[in-house]
Amino acid sequence: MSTKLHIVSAVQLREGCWHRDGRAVTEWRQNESLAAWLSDQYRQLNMAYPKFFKMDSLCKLATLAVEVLVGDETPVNPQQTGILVFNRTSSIVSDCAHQELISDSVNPLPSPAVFVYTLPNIMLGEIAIRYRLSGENLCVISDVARPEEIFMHAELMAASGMTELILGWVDVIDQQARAWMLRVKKHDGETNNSQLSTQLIKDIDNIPTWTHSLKS
Amino acid sequence: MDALIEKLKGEIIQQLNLEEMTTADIDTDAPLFMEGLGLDSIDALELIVLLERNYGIKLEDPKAGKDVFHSVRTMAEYIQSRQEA
Repeated sequence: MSTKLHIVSAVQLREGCWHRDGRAVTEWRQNESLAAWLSDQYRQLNMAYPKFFKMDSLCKLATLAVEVLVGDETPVNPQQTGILVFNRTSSIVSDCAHQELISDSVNPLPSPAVFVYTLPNIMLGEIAIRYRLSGENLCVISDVARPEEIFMHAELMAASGMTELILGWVDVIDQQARAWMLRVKKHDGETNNSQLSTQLIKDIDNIPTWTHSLKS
Repeated sequence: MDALIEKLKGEIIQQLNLEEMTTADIDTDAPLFMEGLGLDSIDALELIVLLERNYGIKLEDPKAGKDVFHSVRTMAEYIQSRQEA
């Protein structure tokens, strides 16, 4: 395969705040829960997107990551912008919330608003809605971030006509969040493909897997 | 009726995760869907669950939903009429 890809921007959740291309764009503030922290980060980013509050914590985290990554620079070709997100713990937070509701001994009623988030690929939909992206999308559940595997999927998407990819890792479990996100584009230059591939893999490999865990 | 309307507004905010709203932000007579609060189809299902969970009322005729969920006031009137029945 000879697709040329390169990273144009990178976002990481590190030490309780978002960093874009190595620079902190939000600040860490003590919050009583992950939910409160997510709301605080939303407000710091001045998002003005009420739908955010209807999302579960996984989708909120993914939306925040992409907001930091994309900002006002929305993809030029939304139909050719793919979304590729990796995740280890699936939608466990919403799965548990749903299980708790339907196991209630007094009133075992499911909540439609909780139930719709009991699949991890819903975060792709939330990202697509927010940025009006209609390209290919794929959610992969994997134990660890294997750069070769990530690149293989990215390359396949690019080969299927995507000129740009939003690619990352988003996980929420209990009060812990983990996320990084990359903006990857097809390369127009004459750079050697294998070098680009190697660099992309190296960059992904070097992204710290810091986990945001709230202090009690 | 005023007390029920106020209570209902609080429940709607909580049930639908309208985190940035207060009861004062909700117009009692404004349409809940499309305009007004701009609720969607999932919210409609949540409102049906809210009626059942909080008031023990099952909406048996789906066609009635459009009128019942037109506004907070129509919801409150429906609850009151079912409780009096």
